[in-house]
Amino acid sequence: MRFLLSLCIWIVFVGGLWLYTWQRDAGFPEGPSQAQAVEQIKGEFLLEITPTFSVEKDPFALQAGTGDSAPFALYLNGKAIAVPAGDIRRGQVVRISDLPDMQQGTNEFYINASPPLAENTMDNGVRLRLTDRGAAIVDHTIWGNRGAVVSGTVSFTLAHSGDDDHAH
Amino acid sequence: MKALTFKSILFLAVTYCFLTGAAVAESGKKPVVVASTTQIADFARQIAGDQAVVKSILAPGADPHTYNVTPNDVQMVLDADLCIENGLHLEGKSWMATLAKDAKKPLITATNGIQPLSIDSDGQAIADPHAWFSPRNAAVYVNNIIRGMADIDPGHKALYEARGELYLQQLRVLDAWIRKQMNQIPIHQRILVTTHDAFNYFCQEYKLNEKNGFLSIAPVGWSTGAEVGAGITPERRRKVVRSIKESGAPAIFVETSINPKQIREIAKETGVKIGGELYSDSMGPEGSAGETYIGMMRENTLLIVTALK
Repeated sequence: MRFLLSLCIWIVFVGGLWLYTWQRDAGFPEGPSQAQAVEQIKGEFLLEITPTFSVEKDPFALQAGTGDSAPFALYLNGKAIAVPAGDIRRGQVVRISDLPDMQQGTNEFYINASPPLAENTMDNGVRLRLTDRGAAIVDHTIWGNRGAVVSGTVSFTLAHSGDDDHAH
Repeated sequence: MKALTFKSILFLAVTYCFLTGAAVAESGKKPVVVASTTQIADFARQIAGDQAVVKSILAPGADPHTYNVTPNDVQMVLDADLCIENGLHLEGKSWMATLAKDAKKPLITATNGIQPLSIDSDGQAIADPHAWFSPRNAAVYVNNIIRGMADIDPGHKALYEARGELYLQQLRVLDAWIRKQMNQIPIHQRILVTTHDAFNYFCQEYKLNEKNGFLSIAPVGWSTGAEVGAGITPERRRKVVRSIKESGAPAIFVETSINPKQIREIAKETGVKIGGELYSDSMGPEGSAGETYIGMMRENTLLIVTALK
C-alpha cells in the first residue's frame, strides 16, 4: 500500500513536470526545414588561379592537424578543391577543370593563401577567373595588404543552363 | 497515513531538487585553466571565450623569475583542470611545473616546439625563455594552448580552434604592423637598452642592436633571479655603458616588472634619457593599454619608436 501510494505520487509529480516542460517547449519555433533540392548546373567550367606571389607555410596558421594550415586553400560551396601548394607560384596560371558541381543560384569560392612573411611590405593578390565554354563568369582579384594572408570569398550566380550567367 | 504521504512528498521533492540542481551545475560547469604568467593567461582567454575560466598565478607587474608561490596559488591549481607554463625556466625553480605535479594536474608547456634562442651568458649557453616577444612564437604558444584545451574539453574543440584562428590572424597583423613601425628607424639607430635580457627575440625579429648581433643590451642577465647567467655583474654593467656611449643611443628603457634603479643610474652616468617603461615579463594591470598581449606589444613598439626617432 505504501509502495503504491509513493508510486502514484511519483507518477503525478513527474507527469506534471513532463507536461509542463512539453507545453513550454511546444511554444518554441521548430528547427529549420529540410534544405530544398538544388539544381546542379552542367557546363564546361575552367578555373584559372593567378597569384602575385609564391605561397609559403604560414607561421600564424592554426595547427589543428586537420590540414587547415596548408599555405593554399580553395573551396567551392564548402567543398575543398585540391591544389598542390607547390603549383602556386608568382605569376603562374594554375588551371583547374575538375571542379565540384555548381548549383543554380548563388555559388561561392573561398580562398586562403599565405604569402611569404619576408614580403610583408607588399600587397599581394590572387586572381580567380572562372569560364564556361570560354566565356568568363567570374574575373576577380582578392587582395591582402602588406603581407597579410590573401583571404576572401567570390560569389557569383548561375541561372538555368542556357540562361545568361553573371558574376557579382 | 498523513505522515507517510508528507514524507513521500518531501522525499520526492528533495530528490527532484537534488537531481535538477545537479544537472544545472553539470551543464554550467566550465573547465578551469590556470596559467603561470599574464601573457599565457591572455592567450588562453582569447581561445577560451566564455567556455572556460582562465586564471593567472602572476598578477600584472609580478616577476616570474623570482616569484614565490602562496597558499592561494596551491588552491588555485588544485581547482584547475589544466595548467599552462611558459617553460624554458622562465618560472624560477620551475614553480609552475612543481605546483601542477603536486596537485596531479595536467600541465602543458606553451613554448613546446619553439626553437629557443641560445644566449651566451658568462660562457654558459642559456635557452632564452622570453619567446613571446616574437609574435611568430606567440602563434606557437596559441596553438599549444588550443590543443591543450581541446584535450580537456573536446566538446568545445571547434570553438577553441575558431577563436584561435581569429587570434592567430591578429598576431600576424601585429607582426606586420611592428615591422612597419620599426622601419621608420634606420637599422643602425635601432638601439634597445633595457633592464634585463628579455628582448632578444624582439631584437632578432625586428633587427634591433645590430652591433650586438641583434640581441638585447641590458645590465641584468636573462633572469632577475639567482640562476646561472642571471642578475647583474660589474662586467655586464660596464659593457652596457660602453654600448650606450659607442652607439649614441638617444634613450634607454626601464621595465614594468623590475626595479628601475639600475637603469636610472646608467642613464645618469651616460647622460641619456629614459625612453619610458616597457612591458616585459608581465603585462599591464586591468584597464591599462598593456593589459593584453597585443596591447603590450603595441605600446612597447610605439614607446621604442618614439624614443629612438
